[in-house]
Amino acid sequence: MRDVAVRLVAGPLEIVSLIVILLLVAAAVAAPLLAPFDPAAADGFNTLRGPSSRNLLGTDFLGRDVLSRLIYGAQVTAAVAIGSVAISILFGVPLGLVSGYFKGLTDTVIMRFIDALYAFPPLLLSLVLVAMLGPSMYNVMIAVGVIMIPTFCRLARAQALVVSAQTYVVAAQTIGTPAHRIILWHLWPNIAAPVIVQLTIGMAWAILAEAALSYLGVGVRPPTPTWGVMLAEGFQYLRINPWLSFIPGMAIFLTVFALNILGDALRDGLDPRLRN
Amino acid sequence: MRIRTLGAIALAASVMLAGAAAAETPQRGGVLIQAYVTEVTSMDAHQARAGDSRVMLGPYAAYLVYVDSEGNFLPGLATGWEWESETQLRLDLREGVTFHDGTPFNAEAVAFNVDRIAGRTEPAIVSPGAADMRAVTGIEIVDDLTIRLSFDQVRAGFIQQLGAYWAGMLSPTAIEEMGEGFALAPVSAGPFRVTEYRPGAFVTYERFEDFYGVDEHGEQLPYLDGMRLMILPDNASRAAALQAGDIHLDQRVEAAQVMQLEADPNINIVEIPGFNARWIAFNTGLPPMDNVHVRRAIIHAINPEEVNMALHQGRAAAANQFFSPTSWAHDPDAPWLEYSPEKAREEMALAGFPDGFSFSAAHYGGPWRAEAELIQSQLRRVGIDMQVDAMDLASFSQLYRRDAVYHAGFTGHPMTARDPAHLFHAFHHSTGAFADPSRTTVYDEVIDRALLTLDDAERGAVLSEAFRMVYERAGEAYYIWVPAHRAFRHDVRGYALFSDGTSDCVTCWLAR
Repeated sequence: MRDVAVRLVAGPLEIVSLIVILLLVAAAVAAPLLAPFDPAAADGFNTLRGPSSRNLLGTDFLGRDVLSRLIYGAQVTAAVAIGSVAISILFGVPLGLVSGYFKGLTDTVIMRFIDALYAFPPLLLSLVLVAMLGPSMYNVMIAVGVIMIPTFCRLARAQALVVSAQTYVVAAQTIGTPAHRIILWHLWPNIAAPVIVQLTIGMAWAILAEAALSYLGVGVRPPTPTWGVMLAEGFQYLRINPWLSFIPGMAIFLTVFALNILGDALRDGLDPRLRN
Repeated sequence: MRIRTLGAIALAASVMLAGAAAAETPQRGGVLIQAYVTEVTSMDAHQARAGDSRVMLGPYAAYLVYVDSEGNFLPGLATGWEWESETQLRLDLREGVTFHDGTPFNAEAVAFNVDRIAGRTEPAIVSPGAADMRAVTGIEIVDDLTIRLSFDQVRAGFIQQLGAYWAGMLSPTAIEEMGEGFALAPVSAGPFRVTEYRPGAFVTYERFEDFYGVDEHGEQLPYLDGMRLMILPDNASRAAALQAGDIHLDQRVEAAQVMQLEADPNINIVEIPGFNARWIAFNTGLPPMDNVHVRRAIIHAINPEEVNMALHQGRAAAANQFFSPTSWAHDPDAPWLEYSPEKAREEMALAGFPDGFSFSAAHYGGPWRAEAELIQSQLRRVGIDMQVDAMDLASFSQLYRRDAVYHAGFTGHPMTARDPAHLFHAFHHSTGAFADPSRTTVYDEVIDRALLTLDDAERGAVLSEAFRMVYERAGEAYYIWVPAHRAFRHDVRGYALFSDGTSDCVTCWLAR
């Protein structure tokens, strides 16, 4: 763990990334304390204003405080990122472990199902799922989580195939250890590192997917602010008030970038071959 | 009774809006590309369920009568019409017209279309014009080019209805042969025929060489080789496409884009003041919306001026009744419920919800998205929680109008020259195409009376009576009248509007 911690603060890029993610988490947790205004409170007589001492990031087309919406938007962003990755890990990793451990018919059935899921264009599938389930934050989590299941499943299966051939696993099988114990106590701990690295990439992808769904108008229901919604709304005024899109766009970019940098650092820290 | 036969064929409105058309000789050829915000519910004109469907229907559908932007009737497939008695109308039909599939247009075709709109053919369809055409109790085919329609009572404004978007004359042969597939490849006798229709994406049209229309110099219309109409729901994308030259014409420009396009020297913008009324229709059968105090509270809590300033840059006007001042049916003395948060709270207390209440509302995107969000915020200030769902037009028609699962729906109507009593009928009569989902009958008697009143002044007085009924029961929440904007590139000429603010582009041409 010390190696991981060292890698996470190894350079200025990693430190900045860590700060960005910590700020995101802080904004999400303490939004009601940090936001100067109600993010949904419109003021139609004070629209499209630039940054001022009252509204530090200006106001949007309905006169809502952009900073407050950005802070509250972090809540949705964080929730969707964590929730959807949790869903995909919860379903994808066990399926991959079972598939990689048992092989044979079990492997074929599971992987053909995963292949079928993988065959759908991800954004299209999530669009269909949200359209079926209805627009809400939880449904966006489900939709984004479902489309990431194949990624985690394939990763877990590939790792499980390698680990299950190791002598300690064969030894456990020889002494009659039940399959579920082998999967839980021998396979899972040994494939956790790449899954954790994939988790950061998955979170970054989930943030982008949520932004895309919200941008397309099928995401979280208004007036809940999300960065994707802010981006879409700002797009209507791109020529006259570009900052309305620039601010949420930059927030998405920084968060995704930071998660990718931290993912790389985690991989370096968790992979024994890269430690030196 | 008088015969209204206009000599020259004038299919488009009298007001030419694009370029210096009068001074230039129209050039033939070219494909005009235009964009619109939303899809029609059906390309079968008889079954389309929104006034602005004309944008997509107009190029292919031919109508018996056209109504120009000033409310004048112009001959179409009917060259003349006469009320032979108060309940008998004779139509003289144009000679030598064929539908796009070669089927001759004649009195039999008109009879078929009237019966189909009325729902009297098999399989029966549901048309927004059903009530108007069911009023036709007898059809007599006098000869191939003359037809007589009988009514059981006076039908004021019936001629205008013949120019309504749903009243296109469609090919009986194509309808019978194609069945349900007709809506994907509709056939009429308009200036263009549909060559490809991808629902939700685009329609392409090509010139109908046998179109009956000619311009004032006797030149065959239309001038264009064809048209392509794309569905681009995003307002900014349409504006960007217009500026980039990817499209020639944006059939619906929202206020946010008007300033942007006005600054572009390559773009012309047409403004039609007070054209669109926007309002919230209440499903008065679904609690708590069955409580008049709830409805009054909502109306008092909406600040139209804020909507105007925020979303229309002050170009719009606060609405207080169904018809804007641009309509002859507008009543300047009609009472209304003004914006007052205090009164809203009083009404909430009277309704038994002093701490607020919740209700659901639906809209189908476009301008309603932003307006709904702002009004949602206004309602929250007094403690009313409006849950808003956005959907496409077909879902809105199904979920709000037919299934009646929402308490309210954001809607609107254009101030067309369509007869006001018929327009009011469509939204308020229990048989109207866009009526309150509860199908209330409270307005039926007064609307029926308006439809039986031939004199416009008397009909206006009857409609004023109806406005007072709407006011007393707070039947709907009018909030704004907004101007309509169309934008086109400078190379588009001859663009003219019908009374409903749409154009079939029959006189359009591209300057090269």
